[in-house]
Amino acid sequence: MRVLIVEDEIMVAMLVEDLLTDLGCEVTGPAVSAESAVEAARREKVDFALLDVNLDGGTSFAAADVLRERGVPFAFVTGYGDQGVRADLRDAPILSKPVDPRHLARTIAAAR
Amino acid sequence: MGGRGAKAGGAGEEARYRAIVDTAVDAIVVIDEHGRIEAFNPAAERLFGYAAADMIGSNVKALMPEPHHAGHDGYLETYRATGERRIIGIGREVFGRRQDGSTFPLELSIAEWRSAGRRFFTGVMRDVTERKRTEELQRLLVNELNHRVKNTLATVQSVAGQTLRNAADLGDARESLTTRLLALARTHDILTRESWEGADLRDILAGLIESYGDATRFTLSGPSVRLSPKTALSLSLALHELTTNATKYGALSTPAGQVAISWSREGEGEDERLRLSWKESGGPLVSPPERQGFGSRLITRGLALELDGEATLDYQPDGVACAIVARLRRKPAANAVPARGAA
Repeated sequence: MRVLIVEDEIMVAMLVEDLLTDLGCEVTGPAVSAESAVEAARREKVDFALLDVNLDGGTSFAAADVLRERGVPFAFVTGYGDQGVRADLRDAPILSKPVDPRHLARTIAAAR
Repeated sequence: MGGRGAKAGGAGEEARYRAIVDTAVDAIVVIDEHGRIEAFNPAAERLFGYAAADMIGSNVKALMPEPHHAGHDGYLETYRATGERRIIGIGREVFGRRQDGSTFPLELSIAEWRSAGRRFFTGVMRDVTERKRTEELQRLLVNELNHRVKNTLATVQSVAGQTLRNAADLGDARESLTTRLLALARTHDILTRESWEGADLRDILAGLIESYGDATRFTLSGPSVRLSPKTALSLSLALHELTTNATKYGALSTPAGQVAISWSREGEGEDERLRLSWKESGGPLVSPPERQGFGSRLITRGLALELDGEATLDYQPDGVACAIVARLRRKPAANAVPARGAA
C-alpha cells in the first residue's frame, strides 16, 4: 500500500513516515505546502493519503478534493480537532496530534 | 435628565435622581409605552452621538439597527396587549446604532415603572464592544495555544520515537532524548521572548554554544538574520544534532578541534535566502556513519524540504561539513514549487 504524506512540520512528517513504514506501507512525500499537496494529489499513484489540515497558512482541503475526485481514500491529521476540518470533508477519518499509532493502524486497515 | 413627563415626587427627589442619572457611567434612556423618548442622559449622548435635546420626543427605535428598528413599535404593542416579556426585567445583549449609522454591541437592561397613570420604561445600556473583542481574542488564543501544544506534543512524540529506534541502549536513549528536548526548549525560550514572531540566528547559536559550555571551540561569522519560528526550531535542532555528533565523533571529541559556523544572506525580498556553513577541523579522521541516524535524517531529508532550500551533510575526512540554504520569507502561494520526489 502506497501512502502520500502531506505535512508541513518535518518532525511530525518523520513520525508519520515511521509509523506507516511499521504498518508495511510504502510512503511518498511529504508535501509541505497547500500547492505542493494539490500537485502531489494529482500526480502521485497512491492508495491512501494522510493529510495535515493546516499547512503554513494554507490547508490541505484542495488536495482532499483532488483525491476524492480520483477516488483515493484519505484521512486528516490535525491539532485543531474535528472543527478544523471543512464540513463536507468530515466523513473522512480524522486523527488528532499527537498521533495514536493504534488509531492510525485501524485507519490504514480499513482502507486496505 | 431632560424629562418632559415622568415627574415623580417633589423637587428634592427629582434633583436627587437627576444627579444620579446625569453622572451615571451607563447610558440611561426613559421611554413611554409608545416608545417616545422621555429622557436621555449625558452617557447616552456620548454613547449614541445624539444630543438629548434632539432625542427627547423621538422614537427610541432610532437607536436600533434592523431588525429591531422596524420591529420595536410592534414589540411594545405586543407587550401592551399580552404582557409577554422578552427583555423587560431580564436584560440581554443587543445591537445599538449611533448617529453616524455605525452599530455596536450593547448590554441592555430594562425596568418598567408607572407614574401618574402612565407607563414608562427605563433602559440602562453599556457598550460591550471591548469586552466582545477581548472574549474573541481570548477564544482565539486558547485555540491557538491548544494547537501549539498538540503540535509540540507531536514533535516530542516524533523525537522520542526516533531516539528510541536509533539508540544503542537505554542510557544512550535517555541522554539523547533529554538533550534534544532541551534544545527544543531553548528555542522555545528565544521565540517566547520575541512573542513567537521570530528569532535571530545569533541568539540560536549563542544558546547552542552556551549549552555546549566552551565558546573557544567555535568561531562564528555572519550578519544578523531573522528566522521564522518554524525555521528557528528546525535549524536549532539540526545544529544541536551536529554539535552532538561533533562531541561524540568529530572535532569536539578531541582537545584541539574547532567548529567554524559562517553564514550569509543572499538575494532580496521573497527570494532572500540564508546560506549557512558548518565546518569541523582538527578532529579525528572522519568516515561516514554506517547507518543514517536521527540527525542526518533530519538534516538531509527533512530540513531541505521544510526550509524550502537545500541541506547537505558531507563526511569529509578532515572534518564534517554541513551546508544549509533556507528561504527566509514565505513564498506567495501562487508560484509555489511542486512537491518533491518520493521518500
